[in-house]
Amino acid sequence: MSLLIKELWDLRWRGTILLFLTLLTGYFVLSNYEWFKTVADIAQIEQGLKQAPFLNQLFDMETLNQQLLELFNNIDFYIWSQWFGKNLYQLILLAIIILTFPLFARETEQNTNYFLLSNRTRKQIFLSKILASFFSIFLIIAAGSILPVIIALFNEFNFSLEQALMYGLQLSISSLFLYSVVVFFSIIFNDVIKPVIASVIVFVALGLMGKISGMLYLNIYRYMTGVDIIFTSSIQTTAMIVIFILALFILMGSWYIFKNKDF
Amino acid sequence: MYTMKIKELCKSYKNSSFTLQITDLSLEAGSIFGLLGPNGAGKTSLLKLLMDIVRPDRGYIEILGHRPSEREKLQAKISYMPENKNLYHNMTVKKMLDYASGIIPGWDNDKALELKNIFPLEGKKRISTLSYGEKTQLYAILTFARSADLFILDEPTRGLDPIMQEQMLQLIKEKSGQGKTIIFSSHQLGEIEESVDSLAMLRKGHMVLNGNLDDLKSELFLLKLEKSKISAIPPSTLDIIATHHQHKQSLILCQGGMEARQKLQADFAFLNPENVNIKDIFLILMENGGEEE
Repeated sequence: MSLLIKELWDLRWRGTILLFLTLLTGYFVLSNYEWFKTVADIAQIEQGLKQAPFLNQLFDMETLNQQLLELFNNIDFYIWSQWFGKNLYQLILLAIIILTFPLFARETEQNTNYFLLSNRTRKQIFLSKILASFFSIFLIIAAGSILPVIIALFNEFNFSLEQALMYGLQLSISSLFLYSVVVFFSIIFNDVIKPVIASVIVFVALGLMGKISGMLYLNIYRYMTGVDIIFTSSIQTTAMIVIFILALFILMGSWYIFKNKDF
Repeated sequence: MYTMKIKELCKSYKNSSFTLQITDLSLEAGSIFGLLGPNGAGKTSLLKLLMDIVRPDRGYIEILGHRPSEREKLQAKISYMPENKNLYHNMTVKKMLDYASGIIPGWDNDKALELKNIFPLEGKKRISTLSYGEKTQLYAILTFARSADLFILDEPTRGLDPIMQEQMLQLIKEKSGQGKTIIFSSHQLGEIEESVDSLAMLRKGHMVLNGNLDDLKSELFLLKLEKSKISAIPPSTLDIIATHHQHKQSLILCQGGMEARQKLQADFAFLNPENVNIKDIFLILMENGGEEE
């Protein structure tokens, strides 16, 4: 068993459960569009919109209702809003934390790092851990992104493979950034609890920053939901390049700390 | 040929007043080197420095002709047993050995099988259920079932029963017999005395004694004196290494060969220089700090 295989072996249960959970949730959400339409009370939503004075001042309510109905009957909108824009990215957030927080911290906490450090170089240890964990996350991202295309084959709707791939790429890069943050915490802390707490704080803070006017670009979740892809039919190239560079920067910082850390 | 050379080494830790300082230490290839000292003396820190698990603040370390940070060149040449012998608790003994065979450079399956007979651990047993002694036995298999030129062992017999302790010492001697160099730390003075060629004693991060065991024994002697008689000996007469005061008696560790001892006895008839063993040296140097002269 090589170092990389051992890392994958370590992740086997967590990775399999998260992959299974993603596929199961995806199947439930994507296969039940018709059922979802029957349980959603459109008349009540229309009534609610009419009674919102703020919306009445801004929009022509008849047009708004018309558009809402069109969206409601649009499977693409349903997939983007209910799967990519809600369930999938939240599952990926969960996967990033669960698959990454113990990566280095558990070895330090349980003193098993002495076995690794005395038999392999720090570079080999770092790379095998990074490759195994991000590969697992990427596998879940790939499965979740491509799932609508696969489910469409067995149902009476179509979903663009191109859009699924664009979303998968954008989600992968955004996830790499959050992943690099958790890796950083897993290296600097010597127990497994602190990386979880610190990661959750950063994840929440990134969401809150996006609420501040003018700082929307800092809201990583905007890219993870793929909202820009729906409206522009392209990925946010500049943002993705910046996020990718930031992720690499954090990973390189993490490597520097790991390389020089006393155990 | 030297296996290890250390010059002006210094290592301190954040949030700790402890500092390890070693001015000069070298070790010849093929010997067994014992590292002695009380808890917190710096033995584990020194071994971790050799393994590049911790990094020095300053100073020079050379091991098998390389700096410890040159791990790629050293990883196949050094086998290390850490003080903390924790392994992956969710693995079984068999799984851990399978894993180790893929990770440890120079792994020898035949040697591993031979060692499994010496340290009979149940393959299906989870590591989380092993006692400390059993974990040490498992680590012994991992440490010795490989080709290496240098074996660094941090308290290799801790937690082992006397039979297993003996097996471990036999393994150490066997490796030494094959021309391998062994560095090991221990609190067991008897096993150090029985096994080592040379030793160093550490106290509070400083090396207080270092040398070949036989040379130390021939060059050092012990005086047991009533406290009241100490003043009868002019200080310039003795080359005192350390003194340790007990209830009514003082133990004085002195340097000097046979000639010096005979002269001392001739000058002061009431003195009776005694041969020393490691236990005497250790107790005088370590107990209550041992007053260095």
